[in-house]
Amino acid sequence: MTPPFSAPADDSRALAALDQAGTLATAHARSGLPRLAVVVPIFRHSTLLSEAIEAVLTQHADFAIRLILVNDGCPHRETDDVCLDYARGYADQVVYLRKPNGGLSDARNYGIRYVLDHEPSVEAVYLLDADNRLRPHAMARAMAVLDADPALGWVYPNIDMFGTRSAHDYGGPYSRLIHSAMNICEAGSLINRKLFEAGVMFDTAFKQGFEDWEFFLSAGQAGFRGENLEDFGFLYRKRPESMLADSEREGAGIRASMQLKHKAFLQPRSLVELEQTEAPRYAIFLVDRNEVVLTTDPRIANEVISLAEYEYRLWAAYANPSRYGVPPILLVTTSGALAQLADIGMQSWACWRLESLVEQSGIATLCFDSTEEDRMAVGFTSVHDGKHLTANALMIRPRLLREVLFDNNAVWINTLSSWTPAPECRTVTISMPARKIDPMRQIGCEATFDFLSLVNKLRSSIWRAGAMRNLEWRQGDIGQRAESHMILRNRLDGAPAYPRVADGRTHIGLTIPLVEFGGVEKVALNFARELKAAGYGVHLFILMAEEAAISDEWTEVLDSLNFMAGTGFGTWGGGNKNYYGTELPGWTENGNHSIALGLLYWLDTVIDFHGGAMVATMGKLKKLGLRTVSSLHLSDMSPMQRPVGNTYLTMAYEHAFDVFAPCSLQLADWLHGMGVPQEKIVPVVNAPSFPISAADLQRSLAGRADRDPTAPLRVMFLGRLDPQKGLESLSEVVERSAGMNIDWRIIGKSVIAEHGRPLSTAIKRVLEPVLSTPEELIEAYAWADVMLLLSSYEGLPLTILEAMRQGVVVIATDVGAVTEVLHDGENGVVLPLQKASDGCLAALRLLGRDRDLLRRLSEQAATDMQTCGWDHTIGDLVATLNRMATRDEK
Amino acid sequence: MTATWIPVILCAPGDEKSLAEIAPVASVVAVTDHDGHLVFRPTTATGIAASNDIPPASIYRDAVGFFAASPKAAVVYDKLSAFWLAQFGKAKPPAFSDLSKAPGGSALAAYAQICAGQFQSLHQRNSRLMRELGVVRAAHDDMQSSFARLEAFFYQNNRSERISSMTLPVHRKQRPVELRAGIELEQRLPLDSSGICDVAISVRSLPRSKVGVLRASLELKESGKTVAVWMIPAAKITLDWLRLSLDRALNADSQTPILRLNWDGDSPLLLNTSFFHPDPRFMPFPQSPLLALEIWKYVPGAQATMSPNGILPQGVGGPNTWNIGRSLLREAVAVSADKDNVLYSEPLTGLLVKPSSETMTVARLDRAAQTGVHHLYGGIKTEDVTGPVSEYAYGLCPSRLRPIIGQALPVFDKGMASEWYPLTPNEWSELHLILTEPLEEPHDLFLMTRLAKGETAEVPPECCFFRITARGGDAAAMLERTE
Repeated sequence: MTPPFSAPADDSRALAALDQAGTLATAHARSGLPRLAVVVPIFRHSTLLSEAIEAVLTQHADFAIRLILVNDGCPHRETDDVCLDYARGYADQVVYLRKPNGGLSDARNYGIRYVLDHEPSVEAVYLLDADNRLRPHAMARAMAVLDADPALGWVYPNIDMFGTRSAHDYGGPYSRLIHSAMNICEAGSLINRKLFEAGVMFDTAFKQGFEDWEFFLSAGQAGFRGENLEDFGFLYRKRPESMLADSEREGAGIRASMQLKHKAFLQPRSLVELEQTEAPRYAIFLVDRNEVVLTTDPRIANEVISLAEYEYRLWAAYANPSRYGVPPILLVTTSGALAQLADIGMQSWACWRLESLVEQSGIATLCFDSTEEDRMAVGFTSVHDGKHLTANALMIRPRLLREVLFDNNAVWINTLSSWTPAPECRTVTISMPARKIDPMRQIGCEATFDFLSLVNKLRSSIWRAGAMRNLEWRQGDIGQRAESHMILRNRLDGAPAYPRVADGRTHIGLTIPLVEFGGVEKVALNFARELKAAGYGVHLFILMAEEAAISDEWTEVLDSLNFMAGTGFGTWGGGNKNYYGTELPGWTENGNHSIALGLLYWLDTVIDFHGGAMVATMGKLKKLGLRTVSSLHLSDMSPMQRPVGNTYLTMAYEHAFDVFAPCSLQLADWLHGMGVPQEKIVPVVNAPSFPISAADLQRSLAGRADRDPTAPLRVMFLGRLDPQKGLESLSEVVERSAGMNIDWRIIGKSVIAEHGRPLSTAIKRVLEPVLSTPEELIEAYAWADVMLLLSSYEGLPLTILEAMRQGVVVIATDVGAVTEVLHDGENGVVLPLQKASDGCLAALRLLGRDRDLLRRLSEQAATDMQTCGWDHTIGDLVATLNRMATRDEK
Repeated sequence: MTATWIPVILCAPGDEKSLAEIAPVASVVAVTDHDGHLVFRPTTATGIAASNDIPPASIYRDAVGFFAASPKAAVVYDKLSAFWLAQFGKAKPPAFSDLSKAPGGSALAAYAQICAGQFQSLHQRNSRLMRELGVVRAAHDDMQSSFARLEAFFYQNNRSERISSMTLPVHRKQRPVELRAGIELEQRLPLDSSGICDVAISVRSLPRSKVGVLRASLELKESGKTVAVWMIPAAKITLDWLRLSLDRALNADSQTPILRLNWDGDSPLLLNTSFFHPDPRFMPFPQSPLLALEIWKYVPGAQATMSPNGILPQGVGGPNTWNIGRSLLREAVAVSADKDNVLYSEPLTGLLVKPSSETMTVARLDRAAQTGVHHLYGGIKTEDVTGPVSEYAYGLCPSRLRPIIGQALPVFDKGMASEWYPLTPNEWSELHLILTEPLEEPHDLFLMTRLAKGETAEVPPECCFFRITARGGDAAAMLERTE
């Protein structure tokens, strides 16, 4: 037979009742020095004041209470009369202070300072407004809470209103996160003396209201915390028109002042820390472990609980969402799947992306897939393709989960197990090289079924029926507790916030439209490499592409990999305005910037690599406390050869960037000329895009000396085969050099389809596929005597630097910043853009004929490149960022 | 007043000697200028005290005047005025009194003038406050009187009853809560206290031993007040709902009500439970479901007619009016008749007792008439537009005889049943049963109908009993019975 419910052997509740009886027995004791002072600021409540005074004088407590009446220059004579009557009548209990009018905060401070200066025995101060009341045991009860935890900052009440009657519950654990979003602590709180001694006082600038909110926020920042006492016994006189009503009207202005004063605390980066510790966003049900991880940052297990405990907390939160909290978002997965995401640096991103998707569809699943070597990809589907049936993870929107669990019928949700589910469901697929998926790891692929099983268990909970009824008679006023994740979101204009908390390191994000084999990507990789070496955490944000060439070089330096594809972001296009002739992309004006804010807010610094429309978010990111850097490389050319592109677009948002990091000194001058202050320009001059070992370099250089001077001149082109690279000139040179003693190699990706111009037969004949690994490139440069680059425009091409490092003599057109490194007749050949092919052929003839000249130029090129490295070139930027960080900390 | 207040007279340094005569009734404090700062120092017969400066706040509280005994006092007073404004935001310090202009140049006379002025001001204020208090009192009296009449109207006319506000139903398949001696069970009630008039708990099984008392108390958490205590001996504990009633509904001051139960019997008392609720504040014991409860409310602060099965708390005299209302009518038992002819009608809010052509129909309300009942009356009506004349009657039989009588119709003692009352269809009337003596023990109430002699009906007529009021005898007799 099942035993009946009964009290535990140690019935602490019975003992507590006895204690309470004991306390009450000593009521009215008022001897000795006061332990508690009640400060009553008075202004224009001359008649109601006596109720407040009497409420204090009739307190039942076993300690003495000092009543401090602060007349804040009230114009009513009656106030003075009433105060003097009580001060003279109860001289041992009542202190009367009169001061010139200074506002509510000033009056409270006046009374508090009096206590600090004259009442050394007082341990806590209660603030009672002159028109409010207390029940007889209020002070004894509140003091008992402080006695139980002397480190407590303050004890705040539930609010029972009279006049216009209502009752409000502010119970549940105190949360600074929630307090940042709403005023949960009434000024009528009992405040520990230590808090005032730590210098926390009311800000007299807050004359329009919310001074109590501001005060407690300051207290929180000083390291104190509050605790709610539900049966405090505080009675608030509610009139339709009051200072609080005034505050609500002036709310926007007051909140703005609060934001300004508590800027650091209210920054999303601070709030996410609070979210992690106080109100974790995710309940991650790890099916294989049958436990639930409560966390915001999926890399960290803030708390791990049993499924039974989660079930209880969930229903408690549903029963009384104002008082009890549970992570609002449920994620069902396995520990293996989470580990897999961690391995590829996509744990936080996956949660963020799923969270974004459930906002649209209610349910979102994540699947793993494999792709070719050195590539990573993401894909999004919302069609009924059955992918959700093999999902590795499933996330559900908070309100939908509640609806599902409250629904008397599970038919609707159970259709998830079919190919055509009734609930809308989206899937994100992460594709990675097969070798990156650990075959020994149980990553699970039954998340959808595991979720349905969990739903079934939760629906059959013993707590479910009770949770349908909120038994609390007071109105729960902490609506934010049920949707605590929205607090951070609201600070980010509504978008999901990337779930990642600080780890003591400084984190830098690199934003870039795509990652293939272009120069900008190679520069970004070298930034990443050097920043990581300098101790930074480095994170890559691919803005446009769903697929990227993420080689091991990338994965070795990245802390995380993130994609913004599928969010509606577009680098270029759709704009109807321009700045100095460059289009302002449509996304800058009409895009959902909050997506980017939510993705990047947690970083310390963001470096934008020709991210197009992304510039529009930099100002907002800067306001969120990030440092913003623009890495610029070159201006593009319009069809009519007018310079346009990221350089000009960035100028339109110059104020939004802290630092400009041009890739050449020439571009640095251009920036200054365009109006960027010199102090903001920190050139990071390009260097060879990949490292080379001393042995390889020596082998490469030595190999040249041994070459037969009569052998054909080895001439190479290495790069994208598009018009910018001077393809027409190159073709002409190849064709006209047919009779010369030259071996040709043309290495690069054909982009004929993109530009509609067929490659010449001469080029086709010697065309080789693109090279991507450093080893292949080193070999190619070691082979070549000469490298051609007859571009119509450039920045400072990496290939020139890489070639020169290995002693290749470069013949290049005089465009961009080429002459910063290439000096005609000294370490290479510089040609005028006009008639470049003629000049090039002449130079080839000369070098083919004069191998001494070839050797001399080669040796000088190698010598000039000896000090050219990313570690050297990025040093100023690192120093600048460190300096800025130090300044910000101060 | 908890300490003696001593007024202060301020003066310029050096003037204190001229003020010695007022020392017995007031403190004399010199206002001295130290490097531009005013300092307040007590004086003695020999001059200004060297230390013990008095804080300005005390001076503001205590000073009633400034006495000038020399020409330089005016200069000091000017400084004091400036200080007053800066420190207290008030333009005028205590009144300046030039002793040379006082009657006889006496400090005592000047002090007497101040006292007289303050007396006058106090008298005026007191009289104004008394006048205002009178206005408030009159409004209060008026409101109380109106409310009392309204309350009496409801009480006397039986036009309302205690309203069931919340029921946490019994979950029979669920384990009960075990109440053992020495352990207090605390059940937080799931609504606010305003207007609560009854709380019923549900007893699963009676204690094996008839020894013991169940102590139930209703406490309001915020004020810490215990508003009612019920002491129920084991012998009086009944199965199922045990209704703990208040004579008067709790007032409008909403608080958190807590029901505390203590049992001192030899064997445990088992109470029925309702659903599990995850809010731990509502768990009587850790991880246990809520007690099965029914809670009634009424107009806050108003006296409400008792339910016959209600138990009053300690210290409250027995009731002299009971309300045999919907909750009891709903539980009526059909006696010696087709059970289908006895049913409660929600639309009519009455009990249908439909007679057939052959025989009377009888419904029984168990323990509906409590000790002390002297007079029963209630509404009756045949809810048909046309049809036969029907007859109605009440009857009373001691509840203790029920096990003997069973489902049969008892033979009512003389005077314990009313005359048959004939009623034409669609006519409302009242049926009365006046006893010669108040009941000395609880009785079951029988509601009976039949067709009048010579009448027939193909379909039983819709004879309906409505809410019944049971009234007691005189108060003295009732008190005697209660004891």
